[in-house]
Amino acid sequence: MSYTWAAYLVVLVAVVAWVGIIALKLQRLDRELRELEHK
Amino acid sequence: MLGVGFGLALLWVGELEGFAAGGIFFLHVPIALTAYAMLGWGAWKALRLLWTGEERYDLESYTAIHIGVIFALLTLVTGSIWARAEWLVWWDWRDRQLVAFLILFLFYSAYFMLRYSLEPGSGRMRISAVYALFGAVLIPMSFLAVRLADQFLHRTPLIRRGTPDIEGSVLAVFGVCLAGMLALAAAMYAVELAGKRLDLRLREAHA
Repeated sequence: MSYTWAAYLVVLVAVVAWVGIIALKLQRLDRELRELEHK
Repeated sequence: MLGVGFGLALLWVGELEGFAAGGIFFLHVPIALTAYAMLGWGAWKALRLLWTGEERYDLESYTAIHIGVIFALLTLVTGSIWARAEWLVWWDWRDRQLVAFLILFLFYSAYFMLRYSLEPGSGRMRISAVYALFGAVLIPMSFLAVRLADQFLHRTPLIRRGTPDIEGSVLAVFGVCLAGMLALAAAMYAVELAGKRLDLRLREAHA
């Protein structure tokens, strides 16, 4: 693999990781919000 | 937009002439400029907090700095990969731009340590804002210092004695990549800020 593709891959992995973390966080917030509404 | 930019960069332009692994130019430089923009935005929001005293600027400044630090880390990583291809080393301590950018990254990384070592409240907001504003001094220093000083290793193909050093078509593709990267950072900022605001409201509701 060339250095160019390696650099693009690193950035892609970082963005995917960020999306995953945010998705998990928003999922948790959504669950907490539903629990609060039920109370 | 970013996909189109990278597609054009990799498939149409290919490797930038005169550079080893020149395709990284379309990734590394937009990421670095976006990091400057986000850290600058964070400092601007910090100034607004100190100026107006409105609490909402604290979260906005914190989120912008968080995104800025992510982009700064990616700048260092992509830059290091490019350095390995171009200079045959991962890092060179003699290069001023590299060290200046590393200082900028470490300074804003320490922002989070400072923030989380203080009790939440107006005191933390103000101290964090002042720290973020101090960091803003490093942004133009990092950006301009090497351009004004003698070149050593790190090249600046975009600005050399006031005129771009690359072809118009390459510059246009670079512009698309930069716009796409700024749009990505803006989207990340908006999503993260919305999440943090919701989190804050939920904490207040639980309290």
